[in-house]
This record gives sequence, structure tokens and C-alpha cells, in this order.
Amino acid sequence: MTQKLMMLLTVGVVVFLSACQQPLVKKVATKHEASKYFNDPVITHKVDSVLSMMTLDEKIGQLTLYSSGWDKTGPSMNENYINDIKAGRCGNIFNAFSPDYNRKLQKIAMEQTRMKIPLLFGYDVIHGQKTIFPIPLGEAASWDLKSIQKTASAAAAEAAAAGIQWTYAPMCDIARDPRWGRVSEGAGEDPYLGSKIAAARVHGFQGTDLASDTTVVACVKHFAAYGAPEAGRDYNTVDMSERKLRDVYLPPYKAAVDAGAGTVMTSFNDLNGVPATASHFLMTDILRKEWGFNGFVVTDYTAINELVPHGIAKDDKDAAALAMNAGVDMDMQGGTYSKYLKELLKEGRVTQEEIDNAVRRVLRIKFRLGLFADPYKYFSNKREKKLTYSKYHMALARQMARESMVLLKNDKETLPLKKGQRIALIGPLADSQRDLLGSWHAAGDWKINKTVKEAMVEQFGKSNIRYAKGCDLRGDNRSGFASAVAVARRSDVVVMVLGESAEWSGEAASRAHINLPHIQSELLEAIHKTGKPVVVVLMSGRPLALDKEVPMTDAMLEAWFPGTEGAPALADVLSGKYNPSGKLPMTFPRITGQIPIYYSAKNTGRPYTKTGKEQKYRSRYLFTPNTPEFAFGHGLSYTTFSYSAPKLSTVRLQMGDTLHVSATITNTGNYDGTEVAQLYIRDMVGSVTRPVKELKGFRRIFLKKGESKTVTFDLTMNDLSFYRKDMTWGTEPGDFKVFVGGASDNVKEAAFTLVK
Amino acid sequence: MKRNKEGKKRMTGMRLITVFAVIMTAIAGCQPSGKQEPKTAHQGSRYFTDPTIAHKVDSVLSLMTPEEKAGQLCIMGADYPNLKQLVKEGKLGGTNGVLPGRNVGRYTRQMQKLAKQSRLKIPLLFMGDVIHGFQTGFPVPLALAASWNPDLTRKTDSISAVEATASGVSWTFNPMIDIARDPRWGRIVEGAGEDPYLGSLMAAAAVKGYQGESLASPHTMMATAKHFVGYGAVQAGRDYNTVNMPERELREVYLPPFEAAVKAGIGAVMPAFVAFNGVPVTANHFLLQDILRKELGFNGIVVSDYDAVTELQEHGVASSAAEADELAMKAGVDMDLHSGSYLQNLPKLVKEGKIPESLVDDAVRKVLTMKFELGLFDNPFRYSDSTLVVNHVLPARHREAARKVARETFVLLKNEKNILPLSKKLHSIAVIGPAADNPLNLLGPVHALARPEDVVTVLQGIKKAVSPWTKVTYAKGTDYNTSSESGFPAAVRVARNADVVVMVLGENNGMCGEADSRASLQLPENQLDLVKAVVKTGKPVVAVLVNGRPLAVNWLNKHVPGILETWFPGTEGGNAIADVLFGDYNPSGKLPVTFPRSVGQVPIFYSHLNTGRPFNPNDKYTTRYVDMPNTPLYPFGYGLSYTTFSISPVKLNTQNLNWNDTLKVSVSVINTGERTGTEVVQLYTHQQVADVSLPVKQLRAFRRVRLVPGEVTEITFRLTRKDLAILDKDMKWKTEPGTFDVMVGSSSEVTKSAGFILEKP
Repeated sequence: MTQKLMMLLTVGVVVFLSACQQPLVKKVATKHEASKYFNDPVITHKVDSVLSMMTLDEKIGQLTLYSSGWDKTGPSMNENYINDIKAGRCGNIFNAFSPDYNRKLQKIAMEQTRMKIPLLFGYDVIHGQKTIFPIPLGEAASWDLKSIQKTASAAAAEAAAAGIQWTYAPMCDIARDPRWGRVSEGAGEDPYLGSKIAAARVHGFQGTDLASDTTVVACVKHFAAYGAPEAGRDYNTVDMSERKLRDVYLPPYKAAVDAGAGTVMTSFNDLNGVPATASHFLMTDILRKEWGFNGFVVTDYTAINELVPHGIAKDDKDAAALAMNAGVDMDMQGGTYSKYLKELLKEGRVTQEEIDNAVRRVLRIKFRLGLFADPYKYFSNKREKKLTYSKYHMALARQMARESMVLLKNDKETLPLKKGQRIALIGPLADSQRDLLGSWHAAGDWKINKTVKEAMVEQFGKSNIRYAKGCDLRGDNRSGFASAVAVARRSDVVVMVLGESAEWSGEAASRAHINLPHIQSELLEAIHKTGKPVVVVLMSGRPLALDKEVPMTDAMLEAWFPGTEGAPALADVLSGKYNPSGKLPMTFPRITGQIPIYYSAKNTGRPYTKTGKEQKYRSRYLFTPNTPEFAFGHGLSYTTFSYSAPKLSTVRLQMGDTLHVSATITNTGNYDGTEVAQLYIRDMVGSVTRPVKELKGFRRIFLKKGESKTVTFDLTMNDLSFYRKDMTWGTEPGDFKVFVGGASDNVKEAAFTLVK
Repeated sequence: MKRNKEGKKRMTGMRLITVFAVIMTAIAGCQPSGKQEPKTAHQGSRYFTDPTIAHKVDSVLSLMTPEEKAGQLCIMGADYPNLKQLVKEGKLGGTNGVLPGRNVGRYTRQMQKLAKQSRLKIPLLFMGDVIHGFQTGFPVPLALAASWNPDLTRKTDSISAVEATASGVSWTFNPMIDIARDPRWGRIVEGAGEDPYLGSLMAAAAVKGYQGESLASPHTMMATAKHFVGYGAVQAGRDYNTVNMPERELREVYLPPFEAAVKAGIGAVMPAFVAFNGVPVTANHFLLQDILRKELGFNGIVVSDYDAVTELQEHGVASSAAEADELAMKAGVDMDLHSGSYLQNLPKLVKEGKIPESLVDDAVRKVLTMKFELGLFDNPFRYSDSTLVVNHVLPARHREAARKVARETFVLLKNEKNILPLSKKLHSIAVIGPAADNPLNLLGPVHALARPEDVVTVLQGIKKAVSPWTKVTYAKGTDYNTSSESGFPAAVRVARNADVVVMVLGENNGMCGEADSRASLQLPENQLDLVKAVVKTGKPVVAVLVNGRPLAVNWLNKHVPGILETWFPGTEGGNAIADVLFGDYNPSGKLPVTFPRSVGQVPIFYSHLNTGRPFNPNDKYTTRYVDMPNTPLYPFGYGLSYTTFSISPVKLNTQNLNWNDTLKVSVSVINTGERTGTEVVQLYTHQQVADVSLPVKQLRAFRRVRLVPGEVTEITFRLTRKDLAILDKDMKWKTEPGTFDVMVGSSSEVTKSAGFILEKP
């Protein structure tokens, strides 16, 4: 390039950038306008202008994402990467999260590169940036879409102040195998609930304006079907029929894309022999063509390079070609695009059009984030200081944690704890600080959160709490049993905090056995033998198999990993300050051997029903019931609710009409409380087998003691539609059942016919 | 078709004579053709290949009323209320009546006599579950697969055919050739395990065993390949549960044994109970028509599983039995087993125009053809001959075969410090455990007419084998599955007083097989507690396992020096076990299915994909569990011997294989131990890069070699590009040039490998 041309280019960019100073986004995009917003002609024009000035190397740089490191003093950067940024070979950085440091990097991009295209900073802001909310599975248990949206937006605000514009969330993977560690990061087993939550999280992260300095762009992950690894082992292969893929696994990703999510991440797994990162079917046919996704697709960490061990690429270069051809825009950490795209283009294995389109998609997001307008607006110590652990965020964290807790069992009204009771607090998690935050807690600092013990002392008074650890999370050391038993004996009621370490769930943390470690189970048995009422509080990142433990308890509360304000929230629930309302977003099996087990099963040709005489040739196990320990949607309250039979607006629903289903719910107990009323349907006869129940609606309602309210659900044709035998989406006339109740296994039913 | 309408009218005398004439002609014509063309095997239904048979079948068909046709398509059991009346009315195709305790020969003769009273005198077919023996109980199919010797399957199934046909039963609902990778599933016992290659060999061998060279022989019977397809992949291992898999998995893993069975000339195929990707197989046009009939070219009989047609209602794809019949018939299910629904509804459905009459006719043709082929028109009683029963049911030669076969199926899982074989001259042996002296439960599930009184138990076998001065003591110790420990003290006492303890543990017939899925793979807790109590005595303990599925026997593996897997070994099980325990036979079985450490590892099988993050102990972010290794307790192909073998490095005739050439893979095998023994040398391949991700290894060949101590032999496997075919991205079988690993060893955990490149054509 001659100097003259160089100057011309610089002028061009400057002119161009100044044009960007005006607010780029004039309209507020709502979810309905998302696709319009994607195709904003002004942005498209700007993107093309920038693109036209870029060299091939610069283009490839925009498709490259590298990780910042971290050392004792803070984030650090490999010197090579700094050089890459300077040379325009790296347009995006992740894992850097401090206003000062990120600003420093941005300055390099803005002042030392030819094109002055701002860097995009990404980070795993999964359930909070510094203020940590419950793990996503816990949040899902609230069935409270508004709260979920609020925590995502709080996380976004904290992250955006710290220099982040891009979060690798929400994880939208449906998961029906609790062995898989990453069930903790998702919304559980159900596509309907999962879709609602996916959309809520996208709205929370992205807000109504991506260019706002309190929002970040979301990344829908992991596309697709990562939640179904064989044998529940992370990264393992995934095999499923297209029907199952579309019925169960795709809906939440689709919901997130429809909600306007700007980016999508490929999953590590192969789907039916083809790794997702090389799947044209997933990245192009479904995501872009069917769904009209217009953002960019980023790989998961080194997923392109991993096409080599997957055995479909002979080397990284080969892998880069496969990924680009499939429709993957950005290479996370693998450096394969950076190294090989140029050669591949020369060899004709990728096209200029593929590369240009990928760059367009990346630039479009940068424009939408307002980075061209103000590359530094996300780096604000002041905002970070103001928002991080702010009163509002802490209150939100406490409220979300309370809502996420699920009362699994409560015999003889053991809970809430009564005033003045002497409480024995026992268990390896009762005084743990670190575990409360769960896995992937971003920049969250576990040193600031209270332990359960501290919160309990605060809530109930020091004199009422007697603590003994009892045992470690696992191992064979029983030396603490005796003192734990002694503490129990001296108390009126025992609260045991048992479960998993934060590291036992999350990525690369699958378990073959999902029971409590035997040492904890033995401790429980020892305490149970004292005859004192036992309340077990569980912390876990997955459903646990508790067939041995449940009978030894009087009450059981699933608290997940509740986050920064988790301990006070737990104390609120145990004391009755907050009446629990959480419902399980995922089935709890009795034993590992029942996996996969979920409520929306098929009837089979030989369903097992317990009524009548024992039936041998039925679908069942010899020594284990088919039913789970705790069903999807299950969750008790300190009060009780009764449901009327559902009333239907018609028993003969005309095709195209909407069915109104109403039920009256009464608080029949002694506390005010919130109930999550759930609506399920069953299509009795279809051209393909249909689930025995499918969630199609839910409503959180607060009822004062003795109060009744009628809830009405609308069932539309869309709710009754499914992929028919020929894989077309639609309804089929015939008989349906409708169920309304407080859990998938506790419902009242009515019937109607859909007529042509 | 006109004649069918006439058939509905009352028969005049004249017409009856015509009927007779036609049938007699048919029968007369049948004899020579049956002899001249013994090799029906590859043809499937001869209706399509043999004009003489086609002519006869059409002649009979033309005389039949719609009800008679529907009747021909029904198989009903003795439990059907007016079965005999139906037979007399000519409204039944066949009856399944192989029940323990029944005199099957007499029953089939009686029923055939009734059929003779019907208008058209079409003979009945008699069928049943002859799975692993008729009266001579052979090892269960999973055990036979552990022999890695398809000849044994062929042999035992041909003996079963000899015995069953002597009682009039000329059609078995076997072999079950479902690949199974979930040991929770009870029916894993009826199949050949996890591998499509081994499974295909076993499937073909079974077909040849039952059907012989010709179905016209009075000693062969028609076989049924079941359960088409994917039944082995029931969700959560729970029987009858739903099945979901991509077409790739279907074609790569579950379909090959069916292809092998069809190629081997299987006469019938049974659709699985399950819904496959949402469509019950019994109503699945894609599977039964597009794949089975069109692709695999099967033109024999498709017979439903027991009540599977009416169960389409429970599946939620039919709202009435008639609708179920319509769906099944249209999907290609020729015969309705047990429900009788076809008889009730088909005539009406045809009349209403919901099913074309030609569809029913085609199905009837297949049934009639089979009856011709089996020679039943020729002589309806040919299989129901009481002299045959005397000569062919449980004669000494069958017992001898049962013993020899059984010992080849045993897998030596552990043999620390050569605790096995035991000396016959030991001072005393304690035999303990619920399976030690339980004749019934050595037979295994679905054992046809095999009787416990004919069984040699383990205790009996041991007593017969040892020296006269060896004291053999026995204590049951505990039951199969109980909470009682009352027998423990006696067991511990006999153990204390013995030199060696043989504990015979496992599952009873009711703990595996159909509808017998288990959510746990442990030995029942009481049995495990018994072993613990006995091991505590400090006496050397050998565990003999009798069971029908992989068990997670971690504790035994850790604490018991000798473990022998004997599956359900059958009538001669006790003798065969004694043969192996005392070294008269050196075990050579190899696992046809992976034994997991825990149910939490399921599904676990050797031919898994590499994934993008294969396990690396130094990297957290690789595929693994935090609480358990990825490796199984015992891998596929594993099994020890009393001697040891060493396998040389792999030699290839070339590192660059030309497209049309044959790769020769050679290894030397040496018996490095002190006993004569048989090793099953296994060859696996792996294609390093292809357009889809491929298993880390796939079994492509194996060879059994018998070597005396010190003997060396060289084995050469020959591979052509056909052996390396993969199902490519576009779902077509083809070979892709590229880099391959070829691995040879004594289990799937092979250590010897070499690489070669398959050059482009």
C-alpha cells in the first residue's frame, strides 16, 4: 500500500467514525422488532463502509477472540496478543474484566491500529458479575420470569461497568441427565419453561437498548443439544433423532434468538457424528435460514481445534475450513482462523463472501453496542463502584435466592423453625463460605458472603444456634460424628446443611453417582437416630438421588448454590420470614439408575399403572418404582393450596380458536404464600406418540391466608401444535386432556376435543 | 379377485370337491419342488421366486373368504376363549403354545386335527419362544455370544429345531438380535451384546441353525429376527420404553444384525414393541417398508409382537383397535400375534375401503407360502410325530453338546495367583450361594420346555468332578434377593471348615429377561453381604456368577481372587462349570458386552467416539466424571485363560494400501503359559479422519486359536476396503481413503497397533 492510499484510508475511517458520534440506535428495539433491528439499513450501510476499507488480515482479526490471562495483580495479557491487537489480528478479548485494564487494551485498538475498530470484551457472566445470584438452575426453580430478568439485567449492569459488553450466557441447554455437571447452568428439563427463561435472560442482559452502558449482548449457548451427552459425561457425544432435537432441545435456543440475542455459541459435542462447530445443518440451515438469526456465531473455547480429536479434520487448518463453511463466524481462543483463513481463501476452500459475511455480523454487533460511537463507555470505575454490591443488587440477590429455594418435604410442619427453638446446625456446608456461590461465579468474591451459620446466628440469635461440622463433604473421616450427635441431642431441632461442593457441578464436573456422598448419608443416619426432628438443607448444582436420605428427614429444602446473599435468604426461609414457593425445574430421581427420568415421558405401549393387580409385562423396573423421588414442578409451601377442577371455555374447540382454562386456587393453610399454578396438556392420539404431559403455562400467584383466586390460562393453537409425523408443525384434531395443579404429579384434569 | 367374492358364498358340494382337488394338486405338486430346491435361504418367501408355489398359493387364496383370510393372519394362544371353534372354522393361522408342563406334541396334533375339519383344511402353524433350547437347555444367547464362536449358536439352534419340530413346533420367535448397550434392560440376556459385527455373525448363525439348508426338512424350523429395530435402546433401560435415535445410530449400530439375518434367509421378522422416534415400530412404514422390505429386500412374514397391534392405542397413535389394525396393516405387519384384532377388524376395514384387499391378500400369500415351504400342506402332521419326540428330545448327544457348548461360553474375569483351576484332590470344598444348588435358575429366562429335574446343578457337578476323598459341603447362605441373613452363620461355618470356597451367586430367571429391567446393576445386597461374611473367614474364595446381564461387581473384583462368569449355562451347567473349575476345560470366553463399574456409567461401550476433549488425566476440561473413572470394570472382548498368551506387534503387508488391494494383518500368538488353551484374537480398526466422527475402534475380525504350551502360530487377517466402509455424512455406506489404525489384541483394550493409509482409487 502506498502512503497516499494509507492516508486516504485513515481519513475515510475518521470521517466515518465521526458520523458515528450521533446515537446509532434511534429506535428502542423490543423483542418484536428484533429482526427489524438486526436489519437496520443505517447500520448495514455503516458496516459495509467499514468492511470495504478492511484488509483481509484485518477482517480475519475481527473473527478472532483471545483470552486475557490473570495473575496476582490483576488481568494480564500475553505479549503476543498485545501485538495481535496492534496489528489488527485480534478484534475481540475475553476474560478481561476491570475498567482500567480493558480501557488500556481498547486504547491500543483505537490508537495503534489502522482501522481503529473497537475491541469487543466478553466474559462468562453466568449468574452475576460480582453480586452473585443463585445458579441458573436455582433461578429457574423460582419460575419467576420477572425476577430472572432482573438478575440478568443487574449482572449486565455490573459487567458493563467493568468493561464487558458481551456475556456467554444464557445457557439454554435442556438437560435431562443430572449426571451432567452443567445442568447447574441451565433451566432444567422442560422446553416450555426453558424457553420462557431463555427469553427472560436475554431481555435481562440486553435490555431494550444494546448501546446502553448498562446492557451487554447475550450469547445463546451451547448450540446445540449439549445437554444430552452420552452417559451424562461432559463433552461426550450426542445422538438423537431430529424429532427429539426439535421437540425438546431446540425450543429454548430459538426463544433466545427470537428475543433478540445477538450472538450464539457452538457446542463442544458432536450431534449424530458431526461436531456442532462443523455443522452446516445447525449453524446455517437451522440457525440462520430457518430462524433468521442475524448476529454472529462464536465457537466455544478452542472448539475448532477440537475438530481434530473429533476425527473429522486432519489438522487445525482443515478444521478452520470446516467451521467457516458451516457458518461459524468467530474463533474463540483457537487461533485457527487467524492462522489459516488466508491460506484457505487462496486455496478456494473458503470464500471471500463467507469471510465478509462473518465480519459484517461481528461489526454489526459492535455498532449495535455503540462501540464505534464511544469505544470507552463501558469502562467506568465510578459506575462499577456504584453498582457492585449495591443495595439494590444485594436485595435482589436475597430475594432471588429466597424464591429459588424448593421445599421438598415438610412433615409435621417441622418448618418454619419456631421462635426460641434450640437449633443444632450440622454439616459440611453449614459454615462454608466458598461453596455458596456455585460454579462460574465470574468476578464474584466468596470472601464477602456470609456462611449459613453466620446468617442463622443473625436470624435466630447466637444462643439458639449450636454448630458442629460433623464430617467433610466426602471421605471416610467419622471423627466429627460424635460431637455432631451430642449437639443434636442438646437441641430441639436439627438443621443439616448437606450436599455438593461447588466444584462438583459446572463444566467438566459430571458425576456418575448423583447421591449424597456416603459419609454425609451416614452422618444423617447418626443424627436421625437421636430422634430429633431433622431438617436437611441441600446445596447442589443438580438433582440428587435421595432415596435413602428422604425417609430419615422430617423436612427437606433444596437451596441450590444460592449466591452472595444466599445464607441470609436461607435463614429467611427457615425462619418463615419468607414462605418458600420454588418448584423443581428438573426431576429428582430416586436413584441414578432411573436416568433419564422426566415428567413429559411417552406413555409407551405398555404403561405401568399401579392400580389393580401386579402387572408383569409392563414398562417398569423390578425393584425400583418408575416414579421419581420428587417430580418436576414439585415444591411445597408452609401453607397449603387447593385447586378446583379446571373449567374450560368449551369442550369442543374449533381449529384456530383459543381455549380458556380456569381454575380457582385457595390458600387453605395458615400462612400467606405464593403458589406456582401449572398448566399441562396431553394430546391423546397423534400421528406420533405424544408425551403424557406437557407444560403449556404457569402463573405465580400470591394468596393471603384463606384467599381464593381464579387463574385463567389461554391455550392457543400454537400450544397444541407439534412436529407431526411428516415433521410439519401444526395441530391434529382429536381429544386432549388439560391438567392444572401445583406439580406435574399433582393435578386436576378436564378434557376437550379439537375439531376441524 | 372375483373369486374371493364367490368364496364368501356357501359352498356347494361341487365347489367343495374343487377345493379339495386344488389343495390335493397343490400338495402333490409341493413334494418334488421342496426337494429340488433345498436352498431357500437367500430367497426369503418363495412366493416371489417359485412360480409353482405362487400358483398353489394363489389357488388356495382364491377360495378363501375375507374372514378366513383375516384368520390366517392371526396367531392366538390357548388362552383365547373359543380357539378350537376358530380352528374348525378355518379362522386361525397358527397358535403359540410352547408352555412348560404342556405336552406340546399332543397339543399340536389335536389342534392340527381340528384344522383338518375346517372348510379349506389349511394346516395350522405352531410357534413359540424357542430361545436357547427346547427341552435341552442351552446357555442363554448372551452366553453364546461370549463364546465368540458362531458355530455354537448354529449348533444349539439346530438342536433346538430338531427337538421343537419333533413336537410340532415349526416356527420360533428367535433369534433376538437386538444390539444392547444398556445392561439395565432385562432382555440384554436374549441377545448377542453390544457389537454390531459380532451381533451380525451370531444372527446369521442362528438363522442357519434353526432353518438349516431348507425349511422343507422335518428337523428345521422357521426363525424370526426380532425385534426390528432398536428395541435394545429403550430409554433408561426400562423395557418397552420409548426409543430415540438418529438414523445414523440406527444404521451403524442397530440395523446390521437384521441385515445379516435377512441375508441368511430369515423367514420372519418381528417389529419391536417400542415407539421409534415417536412412531411405534408396529405402525412404522419407514422401518417396515422403506428399510426392511425395500432396502434389505426382506419378503418373508412380518409378525407383530404379543398384542403389539392393539397396543398402538396405548402408544397414543390409534384411537381404536380397528384403527390400530389399519395402521399396522398399512405399515406392513402381516400377522397379528395374540390379540386377534385382525380377525375382528380386517374384513370390515376392507369392506369400508380403509385397507385395500390386495394388502390382505399379500399378507395371506406369505403365510400360505410358508406353510407350503414347511411342508404342512404336504403332511400337516409331519412335525407332530411321537416317534420323533422319543428319538430327538434330550438324548444323550444333546446333553453332551449342551455341556461342551456351555463351558465355551464362560468368561474368566479374574484369576489372581492362579487360584483357578482348583485341584480335584482338595481335602474339602465349600459350595455356597443361592445359585449353587438351584436347578431351575441355571436354565435362565424363557427356557421353553427345559425342566429343572434334568438340570445338573453346580453342587452336583462339583461333587461328580472331585476325587472320592474330597469333602464337598454346601450351604445356601441366602436367597437370590431377600433381607434375611438367617443362612449366613451356616455358610460361614462351612466356609471355615473348607480349603476353598466356591460361591455361586447372581440372578435368578426372574431377574432378567422380558419385563425384567433393573435400575441397579449390583448383586443384590444380601448376596454381597454373604460374600463379605465368607471372605472375612480368610478362606480363598472363588465366585461363580450366574446372571443375564453385566453386573457391577466391584467389590468382588477387589476382594475375591477368582471370578468366573457363567451366565445361565443350561441343563448341563453344573457339569460344565465343574469342567472349568477343575481345569478339564480351559476357559476361553470373551465378554460380548462391557461390564461397567456402576450403573452411573451407562451407556458404556468400547466403540465410543473420541469426542473433542478425550480424557486426559492432566487436564480438568476433558470428558470425565469427577467421582469415577471413564473405564469400565471389564471391557468388551475381555476374558482370561488358565494359560497366558502373548501377541506380537502387528505386521502389515503394506503401509500404503491400494484401493483394490487386500491388507494382510499378521500377528504371532504364543502360548506362554503352561496349559493348552484357546485365545480369541481380535482385530479392530479406526479411521483417523473422516467426514463424520467415527468410533475410536471397531471390531472387524477375530480368530480363535488353540495352542499347546509354547506353541506359536501366525494369524493373518485380510481386510479389503469393504471392511472399512463407513456411513458417510450423506448416510451412504462407502469407504473413504485415509489414515487408519489397525489394532490387534486379546480384548478391546488392545495394545498392539499399526497404521496404514488407504490410497485413493
